[in-house]
Amino acid sequence: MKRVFALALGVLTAIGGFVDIGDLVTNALVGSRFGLSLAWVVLVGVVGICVFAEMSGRVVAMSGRPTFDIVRERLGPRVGLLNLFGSMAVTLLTYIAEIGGVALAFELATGVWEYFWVPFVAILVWVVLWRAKFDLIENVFGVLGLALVVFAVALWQLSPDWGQLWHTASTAAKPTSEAWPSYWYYAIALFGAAMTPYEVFFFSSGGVEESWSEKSLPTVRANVFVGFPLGGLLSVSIAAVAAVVLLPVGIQVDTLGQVAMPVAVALGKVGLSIALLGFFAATFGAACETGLSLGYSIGQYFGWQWGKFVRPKEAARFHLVLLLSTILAAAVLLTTVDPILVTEFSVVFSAIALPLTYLPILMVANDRQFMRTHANGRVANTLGSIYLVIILVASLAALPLMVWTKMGTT
Amino acid sequence: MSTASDDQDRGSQGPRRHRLDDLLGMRVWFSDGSSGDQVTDVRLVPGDRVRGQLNELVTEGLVIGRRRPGTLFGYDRHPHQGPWLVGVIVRFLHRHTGYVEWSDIRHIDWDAGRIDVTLAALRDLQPRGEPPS
Amino acid sequence: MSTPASRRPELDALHQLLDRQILDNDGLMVGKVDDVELEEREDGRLVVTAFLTGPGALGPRLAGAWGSITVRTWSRLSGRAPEDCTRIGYGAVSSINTAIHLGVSRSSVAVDGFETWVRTRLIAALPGAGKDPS
Repeated sequence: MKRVFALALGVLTAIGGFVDIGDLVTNALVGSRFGLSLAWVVLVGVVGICVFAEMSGRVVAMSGRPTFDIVRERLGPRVGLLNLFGSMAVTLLTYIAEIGGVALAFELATGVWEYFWVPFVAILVWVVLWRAKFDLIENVFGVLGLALVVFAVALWQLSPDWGQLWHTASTAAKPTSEAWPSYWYYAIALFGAAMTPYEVFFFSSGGVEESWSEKSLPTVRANVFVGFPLGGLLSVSIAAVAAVVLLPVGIQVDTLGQVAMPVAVALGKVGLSIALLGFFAATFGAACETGLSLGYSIGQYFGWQWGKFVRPKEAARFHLVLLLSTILAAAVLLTTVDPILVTEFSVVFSAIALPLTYLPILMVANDRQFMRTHANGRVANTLGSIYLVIILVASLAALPLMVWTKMGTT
Repeated sequence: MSTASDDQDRGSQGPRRHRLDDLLGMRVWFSDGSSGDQVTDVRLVPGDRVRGQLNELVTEGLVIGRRRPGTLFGYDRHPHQGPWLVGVIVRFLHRHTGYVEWSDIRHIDWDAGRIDVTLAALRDLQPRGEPPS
Repeated sequence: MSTPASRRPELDALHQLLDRQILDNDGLMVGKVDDVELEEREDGRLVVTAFLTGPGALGPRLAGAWGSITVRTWSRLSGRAPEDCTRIGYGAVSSINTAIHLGVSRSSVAVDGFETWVRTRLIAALPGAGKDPS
């Protein structure tokens, strides 16, 4: 019974923890402009993150080595260092976006100006990272994130034309008012929002925090293969309610309030409150994950002690990185930059940075010394190779499309 | 704890010490005077003496090839390692890789970064044996 | 001729030793194998005598501006000369697989000045620094 409970908790945490500020904003934005014509990208992204996360989870369960450890070992210190700078830059950008997202959620809930909340949120995030236990952080915010199911409930309540929704989704019917370059730009943004690099740093480092071994593999796979797809469904429902409520009246999402608007329309104040709780849980949880990932990557490159599984005194540089990143993130936000804009940059740059960490994992997942009996089989390698191509194409196309469409505004 | 600040530290009567990084990248010169490629890896085997808890690791040979981005991937040593596409690309990039046994080495010039061998051409690279686990 | 290669367990230094994580006997992280020390034997072969870790060992392997800035910052924060590194004798190693496992505790082999400095100056001052995570 206890094992069933633990398994269920893991799956629920994976569902609720899947969505972060990138998914919230990008899905709502896409729904309000393109309807469900980009829903296929969420499907591709979810399958991709399942493949990637399962591989890196398997690697850490079998070898004890998490992602960034392997990046340096496989690519060498020089390329590994460039990789570190690139990955940390993108993760820091995401960290800034997540903290901004929490501040926005507080603003929506209280009406108090978002930048007032920034220092408070930053301190709160840091205190949680300093004191709270690893699995507490993961489980509490993961389960609370399930509040976002209210989006699926709202969709049901709105009684949309299901046939029409299904039709746009399955035929990828781009609205005539939108141009193809924008369509593909947002496809990449949505892909980057689903397959964020920090997710995998966090997931595999969590494997060391929680001492995964070969015996943990079934649980890891259940969390990934059940949790992530259901999380993906939540993402699609966020896009769907925006498509149903905002698209017909031409409201394009550019604030967090507009992301929640369809829920308010469908379910009133109660629905809105639940949505706000979901926003808070998703963004705060993701802020913790990205913050920790910054510490994980730098520690795993240089070989310094990292992790929440030791006393803070034993991992001093790790905690210093967390502290400095949090201060830096707060400082950037306090220049009154729009967190939604930062979020849009972060998802596109996530897509650009993805090959850096994906390729080493794909190769190590085949290494018999590391994986013993659990090296990639034909299915994993076929899927892995297909996604390698997809990831490379998305990475190369992202910047040109971003410039050409002026970040999707043309 | 001691510090090693000189990479060719010679104790008062001690043997010469070097760093692996100095060995990697050294160029091979064949018996006919032509130059070959660079050392991309060093093959070690357990020796007969025990040092601490394990048998000491002794140099057995050098892997010689061109400097390429994929040096660390090991696909040339494990013919069946997947995924197939990555393996094909890496094997193509490393098609010039060969091997030199330690007994083929005539002289290593650490300062000049040059290794003179008695061979006229590289040996074939064999897949390595099972690593000690 | 010696034993055929396929029968003897072999280790490729770059592929399996360099850039691997070094862990002590409690599983705590010591550092990475930034370089390997080799000693000349009487018969001309080289023997692995130690693993080197620290900015002095990683520095020569990082070319370019970013690399030298990183290494110089690291060594300055460690309070040492840029050429200094920590030497972990091969005798301290208990097993080599996906990481280099030492048979001794971290405190007896390596002291990184940067970690000590951060610990004493900043982290230890904050409440809860010594709190056991469980």
